[in-house]
Amino acid sequence: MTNREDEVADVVVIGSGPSGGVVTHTLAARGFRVVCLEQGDWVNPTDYPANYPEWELLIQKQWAHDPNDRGLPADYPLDVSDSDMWPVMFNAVGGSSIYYGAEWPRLLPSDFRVRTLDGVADDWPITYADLAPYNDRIDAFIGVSGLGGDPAYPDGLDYPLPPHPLGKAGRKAAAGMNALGWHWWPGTNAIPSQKFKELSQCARWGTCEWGCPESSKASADIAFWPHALRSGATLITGARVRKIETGSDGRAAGAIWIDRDGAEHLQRAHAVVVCANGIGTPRLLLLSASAQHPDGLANSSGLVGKNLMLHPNCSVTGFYDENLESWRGPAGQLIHSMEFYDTRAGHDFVRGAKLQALPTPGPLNAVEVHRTLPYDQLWGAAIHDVARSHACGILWAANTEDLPDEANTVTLDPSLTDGDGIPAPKIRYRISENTRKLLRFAVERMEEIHAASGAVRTFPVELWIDQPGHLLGTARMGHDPATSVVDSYGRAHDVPNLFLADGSIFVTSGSANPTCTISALALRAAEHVAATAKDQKVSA
Amino acid sequence: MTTSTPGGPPSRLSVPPKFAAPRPLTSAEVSALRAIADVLIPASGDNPAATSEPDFDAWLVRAVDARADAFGAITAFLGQLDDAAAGAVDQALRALHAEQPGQFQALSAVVAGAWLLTPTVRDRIGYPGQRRDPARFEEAVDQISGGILDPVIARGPVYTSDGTD
Repeated sequence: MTNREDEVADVVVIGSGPSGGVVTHTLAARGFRVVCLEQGDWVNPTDYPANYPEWELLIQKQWAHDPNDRGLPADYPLDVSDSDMWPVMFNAVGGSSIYYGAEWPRLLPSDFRVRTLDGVADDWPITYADLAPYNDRIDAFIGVSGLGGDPAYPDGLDYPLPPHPLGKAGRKAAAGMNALGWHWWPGTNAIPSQKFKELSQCARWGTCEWGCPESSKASADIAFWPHALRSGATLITGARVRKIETGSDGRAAGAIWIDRDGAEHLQRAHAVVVCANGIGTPRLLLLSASAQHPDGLANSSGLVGKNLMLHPNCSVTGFYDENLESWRGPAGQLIHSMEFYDTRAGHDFVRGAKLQALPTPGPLNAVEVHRTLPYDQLWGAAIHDVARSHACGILWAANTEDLPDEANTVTLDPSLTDGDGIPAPKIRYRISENTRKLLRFAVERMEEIHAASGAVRTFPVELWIDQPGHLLGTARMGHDPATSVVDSYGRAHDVPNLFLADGSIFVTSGSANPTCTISALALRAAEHVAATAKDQKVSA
Repeated sequence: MTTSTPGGPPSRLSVPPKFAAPRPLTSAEVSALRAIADVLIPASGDNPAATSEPDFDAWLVRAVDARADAFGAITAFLGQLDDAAAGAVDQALRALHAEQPGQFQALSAVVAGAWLLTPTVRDRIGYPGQRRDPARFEEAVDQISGGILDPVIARGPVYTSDGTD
């Protein structure tokens, strides 16, 4: 094992996705010696499937969202045999933001007070107002595009760049919402509508969720890493961390990682920040069990790996009898709706869903949507009209709020391992009855929207089994060490120089797409690390 | 969009290798795929059958490469057809659809995918492909400023207070 005394970092960051990028840049820019360990490597804009005309076939397998399908060297397998859904992620510089749609809604004020307002789950230890300044600074740093004044949020919310055009599909969707009298607003996206720093102006390729060939989506590899590297940070790719090492004093001492050739290294550091997502982070904490931490690192509460929340998605794709130019991006959300976000009297469930309308790029993708039809309504003479429908589609999709349940877990699989022989995560996840009701409700509302907009044919999907990329809640924050893993700054209650700064620290999930909140929490955590450096023996 | 690197391509951890079928299709396999294509995508009205499209066979090879993961399952099914008549192909496809939906998905995606890659089909169905298509500077404001948001704004705030404001 390599262990060079002269390479003790002030901070080692594990994972280079949005939270890892924010933390690394924030600390490196303040003079800290930061080393980030990333198990994947760089993906170039020319690599992405949208560069090729057969992109719709490429995304079915080799560029699939599901790491179990993709099986790249950077990926690790997930045992989903006891799970109602199959979580997805991407392992590379930039993390899963390589594949996210860059929808960028903030959590709403009610999200931080679910126990107080609705009598379920728990309140966060911070409020909307606490986090909003960090949201503002992240938005300004990466160039978020949106329209200020959304009445779904408190006054004062605005964005640094103007929104994207609604397009024909967005205007058609909005017309339906207006007919129903329901809230909608032009989509907020971390996709610059004008050139912004390293990010190009959006060129509306429409393939945001399979990588942007234009470098015009704020994935962390473009939005944060050029700045982090210029600030002096060290990024080691092909570095798979298998354990966080602890010293005799119980504090984190560094990270043991495995390089591309299988050799082990110890990266010593005065502080450790884990940014490995809501599955990778609890996996690593459980892998880091020791005599002093027999149940896993930072796990005296027993809550590491529990309360997994996945934002079950549902959708209704509608096809219309007019050309909506549905190949055109961004996708990205054209419009969003918070109409059914909060608990309402009369509903048979608590909390709610965020709805978003997207285009439907690609004729083969349109064929795939139609596969629920009987054979003769898709194949044979019917295929010609199905193919033409690609230009006439709108996808309404919903993230549903997923309440925490300790029975939904990430544990270490007893037999499955990754390419380095490290135990893989096992996912146990069951959809609650509350969520089932919410999914059905959301599908019914989206059918209503399509009807109000004039759709001629709709295709509901009550659960996207293979598409929860929102990995949340498995090392929750809180004031009480008995009922939470970290404090509101992501500092582990049990290990004072260990921080978590990704979706694992969410208390509840809300139903807004989480990367906006993850990034703001990471900025807040990083500044806290910097501010308390003396206590953490971190020499600035 | 292909480049070469002296000494071989670098190892990529997060990027898949360019997929290619493990071997070229045999002429019998190409014939079987063409027969399948014309059952799944027959001539109808003004629409030609799939194999009538120029260069269909070339795009078929590219589509098979893109789903090389399913090459074994696809060629195994092709081997069962063995110069079957169109009616028998139709029956075999319906049976595959009913009994082995995963294999039918891969086979039909390759065939339909190849058809949809041909430039004549893309022209006919109005698909320009995914491409650079940046918005005009005023495009968003033109679309938003015409009153479409008026009812939303007129309704006023819709969020639930957390009690702290």
